[in-house]
Amino acid sequence: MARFAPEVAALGVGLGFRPSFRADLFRQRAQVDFLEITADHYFNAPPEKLDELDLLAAHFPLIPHGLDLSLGSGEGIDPAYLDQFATLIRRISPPWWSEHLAFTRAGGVSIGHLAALPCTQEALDAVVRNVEAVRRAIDIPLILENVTATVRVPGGEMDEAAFLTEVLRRTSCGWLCDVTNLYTNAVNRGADLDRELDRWPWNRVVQMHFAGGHWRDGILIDSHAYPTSPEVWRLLDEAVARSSVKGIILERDENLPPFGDLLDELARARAIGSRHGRWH
Amino acid sequence: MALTHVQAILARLFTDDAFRASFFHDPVTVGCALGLEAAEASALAELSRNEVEEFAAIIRRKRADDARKVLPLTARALGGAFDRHVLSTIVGAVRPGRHRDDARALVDLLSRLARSNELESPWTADLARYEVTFGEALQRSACLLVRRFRFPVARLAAAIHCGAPTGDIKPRMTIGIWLRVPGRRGIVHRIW
Repeated sequence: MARFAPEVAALGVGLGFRPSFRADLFRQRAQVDFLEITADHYFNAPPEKLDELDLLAAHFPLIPHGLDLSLGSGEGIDPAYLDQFATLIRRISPPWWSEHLAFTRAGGVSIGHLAALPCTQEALDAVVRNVEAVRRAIDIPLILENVTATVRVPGGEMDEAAFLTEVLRRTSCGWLCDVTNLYTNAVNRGADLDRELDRWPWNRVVQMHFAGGHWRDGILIDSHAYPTSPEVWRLLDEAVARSSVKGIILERDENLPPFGDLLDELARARAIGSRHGRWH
Repeated sequence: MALTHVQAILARLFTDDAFRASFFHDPVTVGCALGLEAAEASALAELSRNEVEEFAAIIRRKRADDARKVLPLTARALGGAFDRHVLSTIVGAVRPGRHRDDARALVDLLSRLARSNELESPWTADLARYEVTFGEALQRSACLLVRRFRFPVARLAAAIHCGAPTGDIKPRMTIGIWLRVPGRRGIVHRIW
């Protein structure tokens, strides 16, 4: 059974693939080590979309990233969605794949976004059950991403760091550390992340995300719409120093800049990894 | 708290404006009515209304951004009005796997506004319908779609794509077809 896999080779730095920059990506492909693809975009996909997937796979290592598996749902996961995910993973055989530590569906309602889990024993048990169900269908290491928690659900029995650590321990999953989400949650809660860094499970990191957000009405929004902030760059450096990260992905979804600006951010992330000996 | 009940309530709070208002008016009563024990309902009543409203707004914003990706030329043509129109159509939860529904709802709204002469540029309704039809054809393994337009939509689309003026484009009855043959790549599209 595929578990947390620290022995996999490092991939380097890459981009969350967006079709709008496909031409630029192929023109500059030497500067992008790997791609993260949104798995959902290739479910029940038309042949042209699957051609795109095959083209990407012929030129880059691909890591599928899911949005709607709803691993934290108390009512379990959707078997049809899981089947589609398993089919995609069989097609591209990635070294690992990822999903969010969140719920996106409940009571027949599709939320359309990633909702944070209550940090309770019951939620922890639900995630463990769901990951076990997933592993019966997909025998490739799964890593879990921390999300932004705009809404804090009352009744928490532990904080986010303790919850994540326990989830990773009980599921034997690796951590997709979203550095921007870590920073965003800390800022929005008025927490001093520097003082809490030792409490996060850095030894479980396989991959990282970074991106830029924006402020609205005094709240930092993880919008993936702006350049990475100096504070997130500093945190990324600290996170890479503390972990044996295998790959770092820049996420940019909205307000896309010239492709060269994205490559500049990748070069900076690559330099951070090199400085800490994560790759050459 | 019972996780399944709590998550079901949260999902509705995040996506249903009327339910959200009702819940925050009397959260304990609503929580109990939806299956929570009194103590659980009291605990859930500690939810921050500001945080829930903010998350609901983020979801609506994300759906509007998704609709913009389906209708990029319409968004460019409408400018700031695009957000106003699409946000007015986002009601309730999106159906799983049906993220194009918001774009279709916007097309319907623009068509209604065009019929009642409430659009500054009445051709934007045709343009939106033209764009969304390409997506519909791509999502099917086989289809023949025929659409009639009041304006020369291909010319409009080209003008907006290039940033060219559209002021001299007058109404002209236009027919478009989209043909997708099983087992073949691509769409055959013709417009007259």
